[in-house]
Amino acid sequence: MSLEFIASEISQGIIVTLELTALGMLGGFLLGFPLAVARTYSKGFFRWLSIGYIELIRGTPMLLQLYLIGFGLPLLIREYFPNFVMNVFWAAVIGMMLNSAAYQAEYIRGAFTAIESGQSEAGIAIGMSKWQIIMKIIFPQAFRIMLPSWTNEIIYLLKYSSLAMLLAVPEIMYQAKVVAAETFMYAEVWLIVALIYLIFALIITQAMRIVEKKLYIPGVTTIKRGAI
Amino acid sequence: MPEEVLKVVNLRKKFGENEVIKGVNFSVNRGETKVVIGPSGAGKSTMLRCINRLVEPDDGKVYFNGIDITSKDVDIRKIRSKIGFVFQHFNLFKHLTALDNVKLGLKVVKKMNDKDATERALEALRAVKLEDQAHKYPAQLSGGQQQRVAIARALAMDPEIILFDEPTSALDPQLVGEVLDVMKNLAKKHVTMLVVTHEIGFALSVADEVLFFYNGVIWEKGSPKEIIYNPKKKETKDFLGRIFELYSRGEEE
Repeated sequence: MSLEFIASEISQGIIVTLELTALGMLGGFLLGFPLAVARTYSKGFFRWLSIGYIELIRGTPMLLQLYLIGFGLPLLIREYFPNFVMNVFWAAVIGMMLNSAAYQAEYIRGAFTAIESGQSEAGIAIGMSKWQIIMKIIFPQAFRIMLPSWTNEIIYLLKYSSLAMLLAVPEIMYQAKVVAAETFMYAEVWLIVALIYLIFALIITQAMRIVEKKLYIPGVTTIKRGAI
Repeated sequence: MPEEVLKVVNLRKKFGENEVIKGVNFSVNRGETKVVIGPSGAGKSTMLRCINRLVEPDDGKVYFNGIDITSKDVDIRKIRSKIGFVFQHFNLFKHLTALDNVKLGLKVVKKMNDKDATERALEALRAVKLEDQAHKYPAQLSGGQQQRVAIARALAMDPEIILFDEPTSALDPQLVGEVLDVMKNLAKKHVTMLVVTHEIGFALSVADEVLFFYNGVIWEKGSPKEIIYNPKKKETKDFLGRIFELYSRGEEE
């Protein structure tokens, strides 16, 4: 009985963890991309807004950010809408998304700056707009260059989604704590959980390696080992 | 009456305190090839970049088909699409095949459909004799081939003039010829060209006029034979002397 109980509770947790990771990653990219564009290519207000945001997020712990969104923000909203209830799952998704956006923005910016300005000049010279140059010339190359850091970020989010347990989101760690407390099989449960994280991290690494190979273009990135 | 495609009037550009272009005047008629020679690092590239406003000039006018394109009212992107530009370092889009490099501007700027763009691009690649390399990426092509793709990319846009910024200076000596051959062909077909180069032979064989750029101005100009074999000014003589010395060094030893 207890083994089945453990398996079913933890597999529910796995699904929530994967959802948190995927949504955090996707939202983080959708927000991180404009942040990177603003920081790299605009002047004045938007550039400083982007820098301010990135530094604020990177300079504070993710757990604190999750607390602010999960516990702080609802209190503020209830001042105006007394019946408001925050869904903890979405609080965690928003927190992870806002956090990941800052890191992804920096990965994307790094990839942007790796592309020599001559290509942008060639784009300007044939009459392309700034936005066309970013979307048609810079981004397709930047995306390939940033794939290794992106793999890093997915694995990071996979593991740090565990912080959502402190908002009582039923992800793997939360579920594991529940079953461990009920079955007293602490050592076994935590070992299984460790193994689960490890397996998913390895799957992500392998999958991204395949993506890198599929998207490989000679001269943009390298997949073979170099001479040294 | 020859038709003036490009006319540059009293062009000036300063970088900080350093004035590199000090009032340049010249014009290019339709079908003409003009060659600009002069010492490296003197501002020839900057002058070329001021024409399509890759670099904003400080003062002076650039007339393209009679319209002042330094005016803030003109749609400079539209003008740029009619002025080809070939860079010293080719500047091909690395993530696109030769064919797609040529097609990008046709699709994105000229809004051509894929079929027409492909046809036009292949035609341009044929003109530079690279149709058979259409599906290779820049990294898989030699420098000379890359530069020819870059010329095809400019040519496909059906420009009224093509500006060349030292198109062979970054190439290995054995690859210079194939690029110059393509350019000579264009000159014979009366494609309007303004070419900054150190290739004196090219100037002699196809230029309608040679401009010697020195000290921020057009110091001396005339027919290729006049300028190259019989320059009037001392600075022109000195410069050409050094060029000839460089090219004939092997013979003297």
